[in-house]
Amino acid sequence: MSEGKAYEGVKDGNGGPVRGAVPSLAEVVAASALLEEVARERGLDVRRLDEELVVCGDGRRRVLFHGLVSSSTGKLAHALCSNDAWLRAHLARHGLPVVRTRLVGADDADFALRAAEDLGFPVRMRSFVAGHAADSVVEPVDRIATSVDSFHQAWRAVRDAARGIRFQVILEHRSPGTVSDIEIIGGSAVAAPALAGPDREQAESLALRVLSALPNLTSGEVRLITGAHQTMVDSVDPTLRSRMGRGGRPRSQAAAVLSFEFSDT
Amino acid sequence: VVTKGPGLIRAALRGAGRRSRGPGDGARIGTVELVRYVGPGRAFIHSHGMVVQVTAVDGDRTRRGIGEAVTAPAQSEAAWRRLRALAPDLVGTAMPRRADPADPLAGVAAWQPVRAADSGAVRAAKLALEMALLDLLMKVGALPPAGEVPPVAKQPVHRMPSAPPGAPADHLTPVLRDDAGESWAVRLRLTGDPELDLAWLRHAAAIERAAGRDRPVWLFGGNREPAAALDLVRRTAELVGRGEAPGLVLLEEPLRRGPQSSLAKYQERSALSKLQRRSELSKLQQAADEALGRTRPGPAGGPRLAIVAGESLSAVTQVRRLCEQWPIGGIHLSLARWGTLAGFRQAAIVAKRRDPATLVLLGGGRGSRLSAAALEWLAAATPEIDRYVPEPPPVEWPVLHPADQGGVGPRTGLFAGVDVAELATVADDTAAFPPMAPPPAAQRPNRFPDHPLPGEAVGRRSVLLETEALRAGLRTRRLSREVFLAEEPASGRTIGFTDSESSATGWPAAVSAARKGVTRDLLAGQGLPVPEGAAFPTVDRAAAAELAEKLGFPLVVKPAGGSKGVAVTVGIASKEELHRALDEVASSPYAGTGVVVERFVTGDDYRVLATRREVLSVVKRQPASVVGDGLRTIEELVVVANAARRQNPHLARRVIRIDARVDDQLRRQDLTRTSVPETGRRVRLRAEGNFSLGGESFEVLDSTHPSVRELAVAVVAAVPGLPHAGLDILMDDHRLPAEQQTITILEVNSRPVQSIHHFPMYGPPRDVSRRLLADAAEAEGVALAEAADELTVSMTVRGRVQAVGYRRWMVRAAKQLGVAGWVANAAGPDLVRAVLHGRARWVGMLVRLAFDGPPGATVVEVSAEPVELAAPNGFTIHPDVP
Repeated sequence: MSEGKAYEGVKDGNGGPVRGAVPSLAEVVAASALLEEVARERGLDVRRLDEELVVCGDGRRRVLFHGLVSSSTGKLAHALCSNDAWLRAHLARHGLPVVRTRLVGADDADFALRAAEDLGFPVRMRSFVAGHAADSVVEPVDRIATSVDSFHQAWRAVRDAARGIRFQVILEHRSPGTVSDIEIIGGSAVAAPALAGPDREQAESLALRVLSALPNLTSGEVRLITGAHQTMVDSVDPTLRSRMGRGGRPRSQAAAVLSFEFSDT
Repeated sequence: VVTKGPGLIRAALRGAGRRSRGPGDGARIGTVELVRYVGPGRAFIHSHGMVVQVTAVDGDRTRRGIGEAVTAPAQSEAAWRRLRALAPDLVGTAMPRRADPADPLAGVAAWQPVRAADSGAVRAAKLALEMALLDLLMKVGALPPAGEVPPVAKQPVHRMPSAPPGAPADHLTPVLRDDAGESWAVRLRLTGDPELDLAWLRHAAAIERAAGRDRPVWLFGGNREPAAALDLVRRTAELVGRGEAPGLVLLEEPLRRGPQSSLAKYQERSALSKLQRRSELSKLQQAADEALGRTRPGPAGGPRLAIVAGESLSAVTQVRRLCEQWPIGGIHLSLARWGTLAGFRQAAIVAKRRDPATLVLLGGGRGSRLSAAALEWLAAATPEIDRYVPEPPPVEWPVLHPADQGGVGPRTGLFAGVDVAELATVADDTAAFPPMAPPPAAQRPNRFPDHPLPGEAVGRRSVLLETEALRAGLRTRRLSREVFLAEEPASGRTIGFTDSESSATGWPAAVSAARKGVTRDLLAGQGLPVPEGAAFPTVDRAAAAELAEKLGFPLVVKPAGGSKGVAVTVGIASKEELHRALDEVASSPYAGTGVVVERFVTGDDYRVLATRREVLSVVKRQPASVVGDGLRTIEELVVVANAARRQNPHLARRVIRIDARVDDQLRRQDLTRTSVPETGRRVRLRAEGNFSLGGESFEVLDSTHPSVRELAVAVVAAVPGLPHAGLDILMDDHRLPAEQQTITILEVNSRPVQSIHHFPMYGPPRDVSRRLLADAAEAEGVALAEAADELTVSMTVRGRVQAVGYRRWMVRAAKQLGVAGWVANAAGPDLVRAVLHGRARWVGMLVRLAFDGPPGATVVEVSAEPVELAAPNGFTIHPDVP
């Protein structure tokens, strides 16, 4: 790996892309269209509010959806999941194994280097602007540093992105491991493509504990990294979009979401 | 309505003036009016300025003198109290027909000059009054008019690097080379290392010579004992004598200063310490003169090393004594230390009489353009002052341009007047002597006297909710200015808030609430009353115009995703106005969210905070207005209204701004800013009721009809996943049944501001935060303890918080809030721990402010947990803790 180069992500079992902090408009629109289609097939009343939002159901139970995310998924959980440093600190407090992470200001290289050394190289560094989508204000930075020298090189990208704007940088220790995404819908694991057997059960159990530790979150995709010694939580995607970007049309995913929300109808 | 010329806070002076005048008297002071305003600051610690207007009546002529002084944050309250105590003494005072230019205030009987023993707060109060009296003396013709004052070049200050010239850390050489030479001298802060200091002096002189200049070099700062100072003086004199330094070098206060310990610092400021330093200064000057072969008093020509007395000097008697022994080389006068303009003039005269070669330098002062203008006048009108050398201001103050001018121009006094509209935006307290009659009780706004931060908005973001969480025994963790989590210690169950949006708020609900067009459709689908209209992309003007044609005028145009009334235009009555409104949306920060065109509906404007079960508070909003008293102009009434708003924790930053839209509203009522409305007349200043535009709030939950409450609950329930919301509703009268009036739901806000309800201007305050917290807790099965009024919390702050002055900042903030406890650096480079004890509201506020911290700190997380500890006294910095 060259010094301070852009981070290309750890490859998961399906060769999936590294996901961003927030879904793109196209992803949400596609998911919303799929949900509408499946809901109509189920005979639910569907009212489209705009290209991203639909309301399903009748007077007895009405559920609002943004993409595949239902109104029973909390916005705060989304906020937590949008910043891996926040998420991991929260999960660590609940006794869950997480990727070692530190959050630092983008205006102090020395302080950040000390934090990186504390974490141990290789260290991935990403920009994060609290309260905003990171890429809307600051040019996104995603670099990997394998040594002090490459850290300085990578930090130049952070400094160049800052241009006087205060933002934060997520530093995380990156060690080799296998990535698996566990999809939980309505409190049940529905898909873990890269795993099988006892590993899968263990991973699903960990993923369920992750979701139960987050306020008002019943569905989401938990990304785990299994290294030589331990399986750790990497991130959580409450928008259920990992399979949306792979050409497939996961009708089963939309169907599972609707089944959970309208199980008593 | 009577229209008068511009003024500050005008009162009817006829009564007071006539009563106090005797036969043959000249002008006599009828009223003294005071306005305190908010100066620069950060994290709620602000400097303040005080503006004084004294008004005198001479026959049929009214004259107004204006003065100003500024204070450091710690002295603001004391100075304001002293000013209020001194001001009444001036009422009824006769102004002399002729004043002695050397001592102009000697003839003003009630005037109390600054004394050497006066504190900084007293000096500030006296300065404001003195400046106003000087201005008045000019305007009544007792002193020559100020006239034109030539422009003055600022005197920048440079810090010497702690490395020799040419070293890699040398940042100064390029600055000195690029200097255009407009300032009088090259002013350099010394390092305290004599070798380095002298090397830089030679280097600066060489750069000046290379540029074909021989400006004086003015040195100051550094720490040294008397013997070291004497050595520095002798070596500097040698350089001057050999021509390796400029012909005039100034060395200001070269003795020891800036010691580390608090006790030593305190002792350093004592009168005795200053006396000793002044005595040493004379000896140093004598040594410098002897080294250069100069006699004193003597001619000003030839190479000179002038020892300058600055911070150890604050009174005329001190200057006199300083010059009695061996005349000092120079004095540097500072308005902040001296607190008197008249005293400056006397000090300059005293120094020059003893030795005309003594340099008299007048430093600049903090404050608005008023203070700057007064100093400019003093420099121009006092031949004994050699130089006016103001530094560029380190922080921006409100400008307070003299009225009707872009700057100070031809005038009879110090100031032509003051821009009241600008003053109104920063005013945070007012007083008048004789006192004005108070308004009727119904027109008196709520006061929040236990609010320790007057002029500050304390409802910021989720602070009220976080405080409630701590009061209820939960552990909190703040992740950003918007987001905090609250955890039940026993179970670890977590709730949280993004602003006021709780963890129970569904993601799609929050998305839909931010889109006005979507919200309209959701509510309409449930048969709830929304105005007829639709949302469009901002670029689709044709569709918007087509709908407008269909709906007919009048219309409302607003951004689909905006807030706080930005780019909202109501009452659009023509195509031209429609296109202007669409332009405004297109050029607003919310242009990308689309535009909503709706039929204009009328009714009173309400903000209703409701859950899916009940209504928590109903606040009626009225557009900004003032009520006439027959005495003051509209803009003066706005100053008073804004001062009241500054005392309200919710409205403190949402003041009435007198702008073109206000002028337009006034025109519709045949009024101008300087009209004096008759007693009891309510003058409307704006069409919109938004608080950020000066709207007023009336809490009316108790008198709201049950059917109106039911409707509000139904609106929240119409948005799936929305646990509570702030509803903007137009209706005829909240007391009437819903079916007997026209009600329109304008907006549904998923994260409403709660402080509107906690701190209404009129009506009972509602503690809605406790209710919102309880709802969020119930949704996650979190148990809340009974709310505590006093709190002790253990707090951990994570981020870059060491070696940035974080602990000192926290001590200052805690003292300001009346919070006891301690703060300490913890093991690890990124942790500070603290224990805070005091009233729950202020402990919660400090926990919130800890996330901001001082400049230089970058906080990424603040955790707080209620603990049971013995109540600490005071607030201190502890030794480091694990």
